[in-house]
Amino acid sequence: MVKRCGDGDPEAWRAFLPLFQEVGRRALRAFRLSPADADDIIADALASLYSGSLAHFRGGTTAELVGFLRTIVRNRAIDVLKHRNRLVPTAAPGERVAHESSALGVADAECVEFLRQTVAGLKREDQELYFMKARGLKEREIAEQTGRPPGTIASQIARLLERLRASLRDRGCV
Amino acid sequence: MERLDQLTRGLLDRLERDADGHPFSASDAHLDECLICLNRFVELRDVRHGVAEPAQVSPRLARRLELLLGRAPAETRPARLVASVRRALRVRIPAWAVAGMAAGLVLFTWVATQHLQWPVAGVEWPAPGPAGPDRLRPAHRQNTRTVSGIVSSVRDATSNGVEAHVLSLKDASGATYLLFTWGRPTVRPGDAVEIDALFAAAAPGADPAVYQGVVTEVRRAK
Repeated sequence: MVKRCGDGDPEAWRAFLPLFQEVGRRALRAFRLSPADADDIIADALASLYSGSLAHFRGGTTAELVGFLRTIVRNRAIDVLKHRNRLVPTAAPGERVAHESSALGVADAECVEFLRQTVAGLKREDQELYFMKARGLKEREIAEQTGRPPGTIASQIARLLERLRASLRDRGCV
Repeated sequence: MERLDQLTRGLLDRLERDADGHPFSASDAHLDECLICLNRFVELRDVRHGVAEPAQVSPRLARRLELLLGRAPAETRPARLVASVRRALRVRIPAWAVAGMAAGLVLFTWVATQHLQWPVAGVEWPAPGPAGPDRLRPAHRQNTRTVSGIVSSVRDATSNGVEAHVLSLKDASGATYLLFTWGRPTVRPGDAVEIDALFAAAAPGADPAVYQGVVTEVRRAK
């Protein structure tokens, strides 16, 4: 599909659009934008892809394509938010936002490393729960994707985050 | 923003950066010990769930795509390469030089039309050929002649959707006739034909002679 889109096939672009919208909306979760703003940003990113950015995709796997599209959308979102003088979330990946996270400082970098080690020590199920929560998934979505009972998700997340907070507190990070 | 959220975003940032060039594996054994791949796995699983039942495309986004598709499609990579090479090789001529060349051309054309003597008829007709004047036999119109010979080639000359071709014919004396014809070819190389044609030009110096014209009728020779 990427090849056909690159060749300017209109049907390929129409088939690509719903998939791109899904990737784009997920990429923008952390930005907490209004649906209209998110649509505008995804539309701008689409125009960028159509006008040639897609030709820069060098990967060969779905994972790489998703990462590429997510970066295009997030970079566009960062540009828009900078233009509006709004706070830019540091969760956005890629080199264009590297300075945002480096602004955390040395002490914070140590705390991030400590958090990484703490998360690495969790059970796999809790690690997944943590990453899904961090990505802004709703409890209903987490239940759908993990097969856990929806009623228990909220309490599991609350317990998990409290454990992490306690660890960070003991370390002097909170 | 809560401190844990801030550090979490810093952690996701770091994992994303570390993922650059990190080979992704979704095997259970690997995900148990690699946070980079687990983070990516969670993202991909989320995208896969979304793609499995994609939401209705927003009208705004659909409209934007149709606007884009209304334009010329994105250039393919080879086309962009050709265009960039062409741009690099393009000679830039100043406007004053273009204006000067145009004025010179107008002057030259005026001098040529005023001082050069053009023959009233470019070619004496029937054009004298090395094989004698009977090569072109008189026909029903003054400028129309009938020639007989063997078709040596048929070349397509279709332009802008209008079908046409050029017949190359050799007669018994060895003279060549290049004849423009509308429509699809009805003869093939090697066919013996009789052709009625309006002859527009001849090359008197050529040996054997070469004549050019426009076909009005083609018949297979009996």
